Amino acid sequence: MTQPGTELDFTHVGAREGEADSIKRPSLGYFQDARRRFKANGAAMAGLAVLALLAALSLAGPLAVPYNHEDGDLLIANRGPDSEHWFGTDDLGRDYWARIWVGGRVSMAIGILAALLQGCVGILMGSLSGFLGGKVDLVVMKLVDFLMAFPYLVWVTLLMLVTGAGLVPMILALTLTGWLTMARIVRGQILTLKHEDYVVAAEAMGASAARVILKHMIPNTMGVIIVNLTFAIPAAIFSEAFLSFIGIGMRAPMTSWGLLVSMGMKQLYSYPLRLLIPCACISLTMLSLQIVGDGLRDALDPKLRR
Amino acid sequence: MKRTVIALAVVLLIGLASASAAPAPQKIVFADVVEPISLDPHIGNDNTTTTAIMMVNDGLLQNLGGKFVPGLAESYTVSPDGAVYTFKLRDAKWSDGVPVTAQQFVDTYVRMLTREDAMDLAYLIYPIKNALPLKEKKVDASKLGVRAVNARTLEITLEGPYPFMKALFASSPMFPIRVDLAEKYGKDYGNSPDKLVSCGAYLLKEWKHGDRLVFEKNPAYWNAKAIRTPNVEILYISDANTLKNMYETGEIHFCVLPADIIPAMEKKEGFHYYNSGAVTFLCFSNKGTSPDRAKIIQNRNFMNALSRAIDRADFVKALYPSNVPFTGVVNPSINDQMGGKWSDNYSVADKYHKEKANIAEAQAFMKKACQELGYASADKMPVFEMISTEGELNRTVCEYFQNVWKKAFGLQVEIKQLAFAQYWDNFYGAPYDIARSGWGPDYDDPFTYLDMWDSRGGWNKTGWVGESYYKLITEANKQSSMKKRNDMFYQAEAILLQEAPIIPVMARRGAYMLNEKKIEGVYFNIFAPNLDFRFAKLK
Amino acid sequence: MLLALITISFFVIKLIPGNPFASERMQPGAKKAIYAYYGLDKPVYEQYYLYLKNLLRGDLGVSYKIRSVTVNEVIAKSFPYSLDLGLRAIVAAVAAGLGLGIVSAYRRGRALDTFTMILATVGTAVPSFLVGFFIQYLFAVKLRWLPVAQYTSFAHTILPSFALSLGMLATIAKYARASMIEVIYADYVKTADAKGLSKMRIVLHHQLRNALLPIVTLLGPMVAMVLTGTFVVENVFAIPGLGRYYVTSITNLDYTMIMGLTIFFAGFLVVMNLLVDVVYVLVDPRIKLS
Repeated sequence: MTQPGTELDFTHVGAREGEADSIKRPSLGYFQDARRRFKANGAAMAGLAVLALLAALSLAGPLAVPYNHEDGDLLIANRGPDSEHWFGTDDLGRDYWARIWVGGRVSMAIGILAALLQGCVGILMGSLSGFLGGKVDLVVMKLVDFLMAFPYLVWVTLLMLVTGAGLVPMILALTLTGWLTMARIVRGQILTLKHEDYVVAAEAMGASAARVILKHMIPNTMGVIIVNLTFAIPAAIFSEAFLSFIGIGMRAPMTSWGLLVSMGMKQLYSYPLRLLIPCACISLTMLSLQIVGDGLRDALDPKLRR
Repeated sequence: MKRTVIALAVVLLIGLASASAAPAPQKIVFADVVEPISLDPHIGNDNTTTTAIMMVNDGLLQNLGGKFVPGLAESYTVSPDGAVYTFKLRDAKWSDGVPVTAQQFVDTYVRMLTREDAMDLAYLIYPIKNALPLKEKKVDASKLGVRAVNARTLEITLEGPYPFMKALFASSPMFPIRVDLAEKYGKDYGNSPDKLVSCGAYLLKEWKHGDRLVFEKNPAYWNAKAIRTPNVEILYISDANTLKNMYETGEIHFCVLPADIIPAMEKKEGFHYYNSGAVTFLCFSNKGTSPDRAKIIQNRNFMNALSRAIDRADFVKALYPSNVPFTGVVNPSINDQMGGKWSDNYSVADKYHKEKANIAEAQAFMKKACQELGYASADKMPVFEMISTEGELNRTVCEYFQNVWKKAFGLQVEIKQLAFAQYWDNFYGAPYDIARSGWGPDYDDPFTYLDMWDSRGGWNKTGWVGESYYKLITEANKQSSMKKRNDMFYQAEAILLQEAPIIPVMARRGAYMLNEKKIEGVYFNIFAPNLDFRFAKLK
Repeated sequence: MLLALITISFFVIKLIPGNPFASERMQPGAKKAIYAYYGLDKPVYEQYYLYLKNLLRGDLGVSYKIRSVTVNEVIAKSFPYSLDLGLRAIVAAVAAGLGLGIVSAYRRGRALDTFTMILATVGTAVPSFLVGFFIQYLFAVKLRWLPVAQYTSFAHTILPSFALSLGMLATIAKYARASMIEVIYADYVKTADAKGLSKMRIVLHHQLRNALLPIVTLLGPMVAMVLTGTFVVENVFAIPGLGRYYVTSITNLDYTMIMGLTIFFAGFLVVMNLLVDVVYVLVDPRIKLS
């Protein structure tokens, strides 16, 4: 695993600087540099483009047709794709194009919100645990270990059964169970950073713990955090699909990709397109997020900094 | 790397070899998406459960595709008033060697009416004299109209000339059980081969819960020579797509199709529609989830508005192409006991509810309802809650009602899809507003659709109580003229449709796969169990 | 720790609305009788105490839904299926994943490498039930090479194992390729090469260990992944394993079953993670047991 900002890396770069007196390239900030390297990564850029396209379609797709996701016309039910209904209609005569992209909004919202919330909780718990150490660290890490021993989807399923279906309960359930990895990673980072000179210096100058964490430590772990977030999004989208598959998903008439997939599953042999389209959407999203995640990791890895 | 490739190739080859070497099955394999609950006939009466029970048990009569032939009774006589049946039992034995006796039937029915730990199927034998009073603990068991005249003669006295009793004598709730063993094994009775005895065509050889039931021919069966296949398996295949694939490859011989898969199978060989006799409703609760909702639900104009906004014809065509739009209570195709169908003389089609939607009319009804109830418009009414069981198709159906009423009136409905157990809990205990519900007939007679709405029967959870309705259907069953009986039923149906908070939606047809080129001797009944394959043979 | 887990899941499950015994025609008397039978009429803390007491004796209780079947029996009967399926999937994934990863590391940029990379990305992005249905349709319905469903002979195990393993296989191939590339030009490999060791020996003795390291760490989460994967794959292939029981016990609100299986899964995962730690020590020469 990559560990940016370790001493080893620092000395390595230092040794290079020793070779040349003059600055050979414009001084780039960490993120400027990362952006430059990310842009040079063709696959990652392609992934980003696909993501952008999917996001744009989810946002604007339903607006491009004169139909919405909930109003159907039974007289035109179960139609194949044609010039009026680009993806055909479903069994209530609802425009499938509109449903797909409205579902995309929900799935992406779940993915992004759940990942962000997981990130926040994970960062908070991880940094507190790493920074404060001692009893707090012990308790938090025991909790993380404990929750990790529980099959994650089992947890989510139980929580969803208690709270009932819906967008908010699902995001909460995913957050409650998904912050663990992030907490572990952030704690590990904080532990390494704790003894960095600039942290010690900041503390010596009387900066509060909150300031040290927020201003110094978090920005330095940002790379790892971002990479982790890009992997948390597809995980959340997949979980949503799984929950829909076993029957605890969004509330009607709301829809989501996971729900469309599980509906399409039942009609796999009757109307295969209804399964293939949402499946392709989920898979494409997963695929491009992974490629982008890999690209980001490479880009943000100081070891690869040239 | 090469090793891996070779290993993989070997693995594949072995797999292929063993697959192609498998011999053609010498057994009949039936599969369903649910598993039988128990082989104790009083625990469940869904299709799969009764199918399995029929393998190991037998009735006084047998229903072979609508023809009633002698079963455990070799002959019977009916009194001139149609109320007393006397059965002459044949010399049959249980698989543990104990003879089948008339007293076992008596014990079975007494147990059915007195046990408290089972599903309530007792209502099915209420036609028997004093069955209801016994159930209500008003008389003791000796008063029940079932008597063992001697070991092989059974006399059953009914409350009236119920014309559908033959079908009941042939169906699983009236099969005999061994009460001595049932009491010995308690809850375990009928759940494993060692805790069940058979007097039917097959013996339960193995029950792997969650997987399969394996049956083997019962050599001691009284009609063993008619059993032409030594082994039968009932598989539990939870996924409909898998079920379809298994039928196509011949891994199973027949199955009843779940609704989602029907469009994909319609054109395939062996596809059959059948009239399941089941009808579906929207049930409202007169109590509602709150007093203001209850008041709205009790308003007749409100109910009419909701019903008139639904287009049953288009709805059925789009979602359930196999079903029929339905605006009554009694399934139109049911036997009128006068040699025809109920709808021949007693149709309520388009009378109280209409098949096609009429939004303008619906809106007029809603306007009246709003005036009477003091709402400016329907969108100012509280949000109603519709409960339904899980499943994708159920969800789509709920979404239809939600959307139609929102578009027509601005009425807000929230859909709550519940796990099966949660749904029934809600329906029976907790308050609800609207529930999707249905009813499958127990026998081929209009009464099966009418007695369920009797508020004392246990099923009717709308909170509606119809004294005159109950009187009518009770009196009707005492009539010896079927014409008079039907007239009274028809009146009762009209009362129900105008007073009770229910909206009929459709009458169901099911579909099953059975390739006649490969199998013969399967009987099809419209009442559970649908498929009777005790006497079937693979070709 | 397991106690805390039991406690939490016990009370979370109690919070789920609904009554496990509600069914179409339950008599009012029956409800009372059944509640008494299962001890559900007692206050919750007492139920909890009783549950723990029984648990200490290894008794997970009686299923609320499947008549006269205990949770222990269900686990005893159906876990072997899940375990068998899971093991096959993991073995297949590790073998094929490592193989593909190593070979494509050596043939970088060639057709096989491209194939591996495509498989690796697609494998992780396509849900296992879709893979399941696809291969079921292709190999069983269209080609008729293998049976559609059930789990009664070796031929029956091929499709479900493959469906379950694809995700893992992809991840393993990806990691194996990456770590092999890292060590291909390592000094010790060059040394070994210079000493005239055969290529096979170098790969097996020197490089594979390094390639194995990240994969061993992956195994922990993978066991969990297989576990949840079985929920879906067992359904598609009609395998009477634990995963399918878990899903149905949720829809049936079979409390004792949900509880029992949850505890079992968690215990199983804890043991697996311990095992993974042990394997890690065995594989990594840098870590010594002290």
